[in-house]
Amino acid sequence: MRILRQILRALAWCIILPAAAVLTLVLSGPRLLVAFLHGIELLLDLAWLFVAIFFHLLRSSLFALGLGGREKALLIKAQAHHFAGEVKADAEKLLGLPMELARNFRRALDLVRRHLHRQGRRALDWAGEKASATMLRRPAFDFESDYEIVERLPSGGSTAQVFVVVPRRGSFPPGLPPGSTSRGERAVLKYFDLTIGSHLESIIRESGAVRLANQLGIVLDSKMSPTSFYYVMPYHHGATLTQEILAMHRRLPDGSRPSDPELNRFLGWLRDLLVVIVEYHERGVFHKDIKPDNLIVEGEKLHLIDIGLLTPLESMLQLTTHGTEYFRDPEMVRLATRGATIRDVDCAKFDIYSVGAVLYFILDGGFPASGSLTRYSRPVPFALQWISNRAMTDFDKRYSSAREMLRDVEALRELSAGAAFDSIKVSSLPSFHGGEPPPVPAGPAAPAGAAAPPSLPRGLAGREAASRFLKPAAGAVLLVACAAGALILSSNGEHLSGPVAAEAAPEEVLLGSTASVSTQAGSHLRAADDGASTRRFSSRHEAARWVSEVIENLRETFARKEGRGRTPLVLPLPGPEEDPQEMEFIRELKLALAQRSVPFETRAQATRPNAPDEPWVVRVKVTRRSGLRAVEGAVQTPSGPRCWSVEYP
Amino acid sequence: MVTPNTNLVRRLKERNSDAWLELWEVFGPAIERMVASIAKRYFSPETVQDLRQETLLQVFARIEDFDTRRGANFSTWLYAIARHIVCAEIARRNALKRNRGLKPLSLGDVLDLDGGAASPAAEFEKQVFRAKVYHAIRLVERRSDFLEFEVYKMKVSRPIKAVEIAAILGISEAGVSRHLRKVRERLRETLRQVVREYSWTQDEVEEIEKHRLDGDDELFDSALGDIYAAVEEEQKRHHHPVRTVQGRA
Repeated sequence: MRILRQILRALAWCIILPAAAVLTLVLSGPRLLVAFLHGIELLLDLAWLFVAIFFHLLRSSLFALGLGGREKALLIKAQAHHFAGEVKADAEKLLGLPMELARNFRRALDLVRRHLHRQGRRALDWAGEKASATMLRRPAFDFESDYEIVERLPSGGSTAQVFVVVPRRGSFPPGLPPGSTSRGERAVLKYFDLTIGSHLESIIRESGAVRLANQLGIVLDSKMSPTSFYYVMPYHHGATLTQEILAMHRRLPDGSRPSDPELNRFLGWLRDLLVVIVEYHERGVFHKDIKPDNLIVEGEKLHLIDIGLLTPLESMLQLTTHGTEYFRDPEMVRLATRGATIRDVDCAKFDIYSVGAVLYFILDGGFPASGSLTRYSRPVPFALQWISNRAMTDFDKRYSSAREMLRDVEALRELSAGAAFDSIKVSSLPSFHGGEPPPVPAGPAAPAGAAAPPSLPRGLAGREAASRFLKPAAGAVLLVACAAGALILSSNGEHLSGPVAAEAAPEEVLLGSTASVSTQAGSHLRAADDGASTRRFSSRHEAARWVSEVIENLRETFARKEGRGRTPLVLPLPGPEEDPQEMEFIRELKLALAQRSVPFETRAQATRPNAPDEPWVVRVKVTRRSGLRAVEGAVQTPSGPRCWSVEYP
Repeated sequence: MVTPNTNLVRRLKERNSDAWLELWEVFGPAIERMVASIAKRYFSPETVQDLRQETLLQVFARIEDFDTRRGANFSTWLYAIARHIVCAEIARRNALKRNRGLKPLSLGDVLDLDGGAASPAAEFEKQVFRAKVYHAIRLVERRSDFLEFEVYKMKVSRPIKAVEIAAILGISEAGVSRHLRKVRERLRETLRQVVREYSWTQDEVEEIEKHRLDGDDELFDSALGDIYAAVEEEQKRHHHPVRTVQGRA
């Protein structure tokens, strides 16, 4: 009975196994052939067993039939005994069979599982690709009539989708900055859509940033619809600075530093970055999110991307903590938590901190967790450490402007062309001597030699002594200048001495020295622009901003003194006969005045030489002087005309 | 017996935002490192940051209960809160694991209390002292001229002589010595002030002597350099991947 049960069980397995083998073979193909062969092998084993049992029984029966009497009985007994032993062995074999079958079946199932898993993953990938391709082909993007999607880029931390596109009509829409992109060139399109997860806050913030970026000429196109917003910028193909630097530091052995040519290459990148930052700041905006992930290395060039946090320096909004840890100035977080407004703080210095942090990352490969206190894990040349630390140090001691930092970088590049980095003395850097070196005509490629301050005697003790002597002397000169300024204010605009005042008409007084900037409040606020005769600026925009600030202060002074409301300024109306340079300057001035909410009107007669001297009429004359544009202007105050003189390239 | 300095605690109790920023600046990194050292194998850096914030939130909620007259260190009180929060988090996670049929962690495993290594409490006390020294360095950096401080930083960052510093910077040796002297004096004074400000027991005040920070100039520079290096090393070990912060604080 037991044997019969085993036989039935074996038979059942004989049905199950081939069925499972065939099924798995059909499902998973040749890779399961091994499992199938296992099954066949077992079937053969089983068949052999049946045949063996059958012949054994038959042989024993036939033998027993041929004998008789007692011998027959003994033989049958012996045969039976022998047969029982054989059957027992066969039964054991039979019992082992299901175990073998189960093992093989488990192997087969395992192979099936692995195969299905692999196939499933392939199917998922395929579905993902199809879905992504379907999404790319989705006609819902409202920019697709103008742009063709080439590639999708990772969107980073924002709620936008980023694409590489080419314009459908072969070029970008009219009205774009000339030369910003060539025909058929790729561009990056950042797309926000409220219906597919973008936040309204992001759209509002980025659209504001795009308005600013438009002034800088870095946005190719932008469009706002009731539910979506997109903008297009030039596409830079390359690795991020993070990828480049981490790969470079992985190659470097512990305790060694990048070679001098590599350091020179880094300085070139830093210069590229600073040129852009200087341009931003002089145009009145700051980037707020400078970090290695937002810098693209394209050959020897470094490009700053992501304008999402561009903010006007004169914004009256409250400072926020947006930015990226380790590359964001901790002082910004502190001021933001105290509720400071942007215009009350020199926010350009936050960008300078970030550039310093980026330099640290380039040189060390790590993050400057403690700002300028962070130690280097590699033996970095001290001149480079100086620049990085100076950019990240306390707010008041930091580089006063990105241009000052650029001067140091340019000087170091020049010095490193003729000497090893380790032999360059830190005192060779322009910022080492504290005060601003003489201003230079703008342009990032200005020679570093021109930017350096007059060098003190080479003798070390002599320099120390000179510095000790010069500091009090400079302080005394400053004190006298301040006293003179105060006298002028109190005398309601009497004559001033000074180089330009001497050259100017007798009834005119120098305006620059009379202006006192009222926004200074505390150490974090911007220093007053005051006390110069002919001021030199890096751009027309910067010069116009300064003039507008000075005029506004003058008007405030008179408004306080006379207790009357402010009458609007009168600016020259552009006409065909006017000098285009004058018109350009006046246009910048109008923009700057508008940003300061100073009321003004335009009149054609304001520029005529015989115009009546009515109050607050502005006159401007632009000339060319040794390669620079010189603007001499005057504003008619109730107590007489006040003049200024500025220069720019 | 030192008179307990209740200034910071008083300002904290008054909900003075500057005092909270100060607490965050001075003790925040030490708490973070302590939390990380207790359960670094089990918590991600993000969770460690969350626990640090949770600790300071609990400090904010319970500051009224801290009584300076009992003679307990403020740092010990902070440690007790932080440890409680870490243990509560471990218990919460263990409960989750039990419900899923997983083996929970034993507290002994988690607290890393194996013999030989300093206990978390002792290590935390060390870190708190280092945090005070680091805070003093920061204050002196703010009060010093950039060049002066850079000179001193060069001196304590690596074994380098004044004459070498002078050669690197391109200034006179006398100038370097003057800068070093000025910053060192300022540091000694500020360190005494900071330790007084954040100490509640005599033991805490005496830590200056224990760490050889009252010795001659060479000893002082060397001890300060060691602490500066230790803090920087700790910070490098615990720094987290860069992430964009998109919200207002």
